[in-house]
Amino acid sequence: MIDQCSDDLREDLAAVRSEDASVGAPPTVEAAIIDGFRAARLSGAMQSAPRRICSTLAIAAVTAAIVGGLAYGQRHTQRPRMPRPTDQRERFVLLPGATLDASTDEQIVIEITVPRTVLMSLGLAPSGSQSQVASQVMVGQDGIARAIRVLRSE
Amino acid sequence: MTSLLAPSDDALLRDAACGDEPAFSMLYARHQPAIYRFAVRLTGSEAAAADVTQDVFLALIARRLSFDRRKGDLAMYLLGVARQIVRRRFRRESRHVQLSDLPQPETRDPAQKRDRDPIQLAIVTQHERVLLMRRAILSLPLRYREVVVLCHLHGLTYAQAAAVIGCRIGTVRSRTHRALRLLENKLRPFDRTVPVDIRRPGGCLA
Repeated sequence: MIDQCSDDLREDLAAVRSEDASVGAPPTVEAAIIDGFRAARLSGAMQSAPRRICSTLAIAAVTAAIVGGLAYGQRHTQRPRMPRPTDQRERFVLLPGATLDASTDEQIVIEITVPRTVLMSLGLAPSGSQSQVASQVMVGQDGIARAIRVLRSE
Repeated sequence: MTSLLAPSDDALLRDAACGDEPAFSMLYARHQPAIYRFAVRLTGSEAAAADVTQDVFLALIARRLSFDRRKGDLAMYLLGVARQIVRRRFRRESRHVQLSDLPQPETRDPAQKRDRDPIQLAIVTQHERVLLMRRAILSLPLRYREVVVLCHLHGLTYAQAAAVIGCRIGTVRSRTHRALRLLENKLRPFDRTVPVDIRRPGGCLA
């Protein structure tokens, strides 16, 4: 009885597998992913090979300079610590076609979650892999969004 | 570097990481069907599966098209990411979609079936069995559902499924055994007598 059931089960599973063989993601998914790929490429997340080699050399040079500088600093005076560079996530990015005139337009900031693909299409590369990213949007008195910044990954 | 037949995943990843869009598109076309099917069978929703597929490849982009090769090849890695995303979705969603129970055998009307054309009846019954099986798989607890989908719908070995799930092979084997027993119990009320009879030459349907 169990063997007979196993045969039936195997046959039904094979039927499901057969019907699923031609199933694939809808074209809208590919479009969104290709948009994300292009955005990552534009934001510098991906580089051409020669540029990557150059940047590797540049990083090595900068690292050597920093190490040398630290060694020099330890031998001489205590140098003040440099402020950390501003994180990309902390800056507002102007939305396409928007203008920001602080003297005439009073802005309000609202917090929303934005699809990752939208952020990537704007050139932002939020960390993490969540589909929704908490962000702040700067909105003018006319209700039109002016700028956006990523708050954090959920 | 690139094969004349089909470039390897590694070659495509390397090219895509340098910004080569056709290479990335080829990589996507090669792996998205498996990811999407896996997600559909785990979630039971085509919309959710589309989201999961999108998240999987965006995660790969966010990692600059690199992955931990100790966890297997790219296909295994992507399935593992899809599994994690699905599990995260299940945890995050406060309102789960309630999977309806399997239909009761009494709801079937054999008398009505007898009035149909036998060939048409065979096709419909086969399709019904596929639907029943899909619903039965969806009604399994997630830990059993994923091993059935990986090993019996995607054709992965126990070792490959273990790499995707991140557990021991013995765990996959025992879960698969348990999952198949559960499926048998769920599908036992829906016997196969009608399709078997009509396949037999001169089979009596009346």
